[in-house]
Amino acid sequence: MFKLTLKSLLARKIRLALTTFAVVLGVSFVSGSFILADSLRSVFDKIAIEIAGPNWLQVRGVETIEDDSFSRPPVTQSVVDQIRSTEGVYDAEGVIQGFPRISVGDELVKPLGGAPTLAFNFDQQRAELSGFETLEGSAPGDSEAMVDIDTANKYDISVGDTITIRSLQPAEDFQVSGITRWGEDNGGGAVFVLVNTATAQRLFDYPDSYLAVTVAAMPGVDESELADKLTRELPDGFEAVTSDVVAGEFSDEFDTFITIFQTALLVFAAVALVVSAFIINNTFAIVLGQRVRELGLLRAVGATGRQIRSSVLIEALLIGVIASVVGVFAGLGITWVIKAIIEQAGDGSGLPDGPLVIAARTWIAASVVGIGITLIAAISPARKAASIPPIAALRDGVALWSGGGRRRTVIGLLLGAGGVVATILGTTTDSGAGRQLTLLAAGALLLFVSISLLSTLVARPAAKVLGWPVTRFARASGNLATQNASRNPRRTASTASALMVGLALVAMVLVVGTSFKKTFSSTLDSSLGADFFVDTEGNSSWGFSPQLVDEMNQIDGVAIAVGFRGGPGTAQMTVAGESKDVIGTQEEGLGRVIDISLIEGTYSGLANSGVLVHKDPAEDLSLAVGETVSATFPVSGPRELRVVGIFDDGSTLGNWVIDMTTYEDGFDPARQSDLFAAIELEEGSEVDEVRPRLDAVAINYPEATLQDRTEYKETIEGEIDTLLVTVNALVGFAVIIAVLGIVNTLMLSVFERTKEIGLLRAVGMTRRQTRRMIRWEAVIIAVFGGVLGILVGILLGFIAVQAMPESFITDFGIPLGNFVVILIMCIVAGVLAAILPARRAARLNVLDAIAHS
Amino acid sequence: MTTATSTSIAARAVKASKVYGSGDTTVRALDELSVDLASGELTAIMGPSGSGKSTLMHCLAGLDNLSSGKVYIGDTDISELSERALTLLRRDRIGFVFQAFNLVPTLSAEENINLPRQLGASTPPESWVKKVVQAVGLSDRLQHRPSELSGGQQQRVAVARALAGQPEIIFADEPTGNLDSKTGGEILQFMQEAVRDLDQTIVMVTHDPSAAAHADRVVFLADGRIVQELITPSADLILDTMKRLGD
Ligand SMILES: Nc1ncnc2c1ncn2[C@@H]1O[C@H](COP(=O)(O)OP(=O)(O)OP(=O)(O)O)[C@@H](O)[C@H]1O
Ligand SMILES: [Mg+2]
Repeated sequence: MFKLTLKSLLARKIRLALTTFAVVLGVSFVSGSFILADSLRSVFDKIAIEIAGPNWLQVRGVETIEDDSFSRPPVTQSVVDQIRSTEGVYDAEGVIQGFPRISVGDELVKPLGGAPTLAFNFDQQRAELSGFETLEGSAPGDSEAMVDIDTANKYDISVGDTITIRSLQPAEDFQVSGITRWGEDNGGGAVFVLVNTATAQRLFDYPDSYLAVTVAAMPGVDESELADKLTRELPDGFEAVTSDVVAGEFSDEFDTFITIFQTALLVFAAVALVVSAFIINNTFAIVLGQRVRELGLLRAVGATGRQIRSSVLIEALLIGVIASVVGVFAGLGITWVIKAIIEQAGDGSGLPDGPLVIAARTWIAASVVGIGITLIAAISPARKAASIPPIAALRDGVALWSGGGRRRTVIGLLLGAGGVVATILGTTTDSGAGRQLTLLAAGALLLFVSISLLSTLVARPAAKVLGWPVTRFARASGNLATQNASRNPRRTASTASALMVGLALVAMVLVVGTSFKKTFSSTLDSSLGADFFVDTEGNSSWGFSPQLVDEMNQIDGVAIAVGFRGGPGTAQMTVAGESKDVIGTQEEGLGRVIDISLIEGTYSGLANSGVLVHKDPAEDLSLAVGETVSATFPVSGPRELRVVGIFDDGSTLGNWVIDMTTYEDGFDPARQSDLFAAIELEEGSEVDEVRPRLDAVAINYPEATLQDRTEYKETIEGEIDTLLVTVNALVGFAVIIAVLGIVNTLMLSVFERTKEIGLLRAVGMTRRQTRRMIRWEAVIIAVFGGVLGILVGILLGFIAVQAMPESFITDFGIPLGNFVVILIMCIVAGVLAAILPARRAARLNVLDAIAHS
Repeated sequence: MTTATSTSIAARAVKASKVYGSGDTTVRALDELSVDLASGELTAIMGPSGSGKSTLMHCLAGLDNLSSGKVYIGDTDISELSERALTLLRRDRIGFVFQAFNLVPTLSAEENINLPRQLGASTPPESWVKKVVQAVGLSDRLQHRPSELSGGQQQRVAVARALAGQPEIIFADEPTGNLDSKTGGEILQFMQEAVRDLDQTIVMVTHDPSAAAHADRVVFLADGRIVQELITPSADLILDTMKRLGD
């Protein structure tokens, strides 16, 4: 039986290749995700190893908020002195780390792929404790700085040039005294700039203190023992750890980041796999359908149904194995594509470079996924094949898929109902993000399968409707194409469904994006009253200097400029044991530049240890105006805040708003840059008239972008669009696989209809007409898939928008223009998918085709 | 050939050779065969299996090319034609009826009959198509798909399609080979009428002497050559000739 399976596989090389290719694409995305994540990890692991390097220790303040590394109090000079005089310590050096923005002329220096720009203190004395090596020039004196070699090369900086460093202080110019390198290869994509200790303390607000202390042990002294000893002897609130611990913390941090990144990629990979599964299933069904007679003959000569089934499954297994191996290597290519997509989205700053790593788990994941998905997709065709009666050998036209129409419908409806229930549960219940996402994914999958089953019912009328315009302008070929597309509704529906899955997700993303844009637009109109906005350039989470707002406030014609700090991912305080995103600003601008719709209370009093709370958390914690709430901040620790107002609109400032003074006390220097600013002009001042004056200030802050209302709107919409394009480019893999599915189906159909095509050619169908016939069939299938996809996408998008928090999306919008584009692209995809099958059909030798059995 | 010049020639083969394979396995399916087929006649082609009948039909109908020699449809030398011109020639000037599988399964009987016109052939008058449909007795079956028609009905649809286009010549390769003698007889009857009443030219391959007896002329092939010709022979004479040639 195995030999027979192999023979039948080899006899159908093209079909085999096409099926395998569909699996390969799905698998390659999975392996690509793993390869990319592992490669990134290897870059950071290397950095971690360098950090651990020759053994050293770190002394630092103990976190006042758990897992918030920014909540470590600074180390004072006296502690450093105490460490130096401790027995067993060879030497110690205080470390200051800052997050400045660097510019050369008026060009901002941008790190790679979300890496930070880091400033450290560096002195000739104790240089060996720093991890930095001087490649050229010398250590910085006052008003001097060193930059890392990669940045120097990229921005063409040499010793003697001037760079500008922006910190919390006014921008300052520094002369480049030398070029440096961190560790062996400056890894990770960060920009490094080194200044002397006194300068660093001044720029980054560490008066006579340090972020941490690097300690070298005497030769022969055991590091962990020394760490224990230091922890014991130093004042309370300080701890000493070995370099391994530091390296471990570093790895963990990046591991979290890489894991999130990888998970996101795997979600897209999963989509691609679902589509592959549809296609494999369809291909097996068609191929087996064409082999009914052959299989019937096997049954007639004594093969059992079981043997037939195993032969089909073995075939699937072989395809799965081949596809998995090929898929892993194709994954190498995919990483390149994904990198390019991300680089495109990140405005030129991509992922750090490094060698590509194929880890053992990549092989395992690829095999499990490749073989598994192929087998699962082959199960139902295999069972059908096993039930072919021996009589099929003798009769023509025993349909493999006859009957079961009602069962299909019932199963489809049941699955659809299940899908809707799961989706609704996923969006309404509050059972944790992980479970909700699982429910949503399962719901979407059930919906997809259900629609693919049910679409069989509408495939025939849909093909007729879609074919109607085609018949208008390509009479015979159009008519035949329509007939062909509707003659086997199951096949048309399955092929279109594969496309539907990918396009549904694209459409959903577009619906959510459009709704988001609409929401933003109405927020801008209703709650952002300012005339100008300042955003951080390149969306860095390291913002711009507070000096900017001060300077803006001096400008003639400006009524008020307000800065905002903190927010999601930047600043959290702890309230009732949970960490909450918090934003710092000033009461003066609220209600004017930004309206957050106060329900109760006032803005005034914010400066006096006040807090504004959104109505939802206020209700959850039963807070009323005038009551106090205790919040814990990383630096200032616990603090009582008085609720001065409760507001309705959380879309701009989130749920918790505090005064800038409270914020400044509460958070460390690294988080004291503004992330956003809003500027309102005086009554009577013209936007055009004040603009040049604002620009004159803004030009000194390349890390900030000044925009008027229209520009700001365009920027935000542009950012949303970039995100949409990125997401859709990744979903695009699934769409490509689906288009391949159309090629597959058409190839098989052409093969199946060889005789018929020969006949048509004999009675006078030209090659061009033949090609056209196949092409229109492809277009009808593709557009059918597109229409289904858009409809399902609107449904999913609607559910998604309902599920999103109100602070995020309130309006619902349908991007009609985009949908038209999708349908046009479906037509193009159909035309492309038909190229190969159409050529094959047109090239058939008429007589051979007629003689074909 | 010395056919009277008064009757025009619908199709002609001149020293037509068709060789399959090469070296040891060479088969001469047609061996320098020349024949003129007169307009308005029903010609029957007979001969033992493998004698080249189908090959001759295919080459005459522009479905296959000769290895050497020439084929004319009317005055057109079809060996000179491009693939596309040949296709259009088949569509506009030739009709073809195969032994089986003549119809596109997704199209109704009527659509199958109209297929050449759908494909762009110039439209014969509607009345003519009606007449043909009526003649083949299919008026009440027009909307049926081939799978809903009997074998005989299917062949009649095929003949109707060939006739509907008013081609210069119709080639039929064992059109009744798959049918019982009664149904086959009806089809033959019908083809004979088409020649007599509608002035159609038909060339037909058959193994059945009684079928060939309907013909104006019977041409016998053996080993790719014409070995005998009979003009309006009786079935008995045909049978005798077959026996003689078979020995
Ligand atoms: N495609 C081909 N390749 C090789 N040889 C062929 C091919 N087609 C036909 N032949 C050979 O050419 C010769 C003539 O075949 P043809 O089909 O014309 O015979 P026929 O007279 O129609 O026979 P039958 O009465 O059985 O239909 C035969 O010997 C056949 O084997
Ligand atoms: Mg023959």
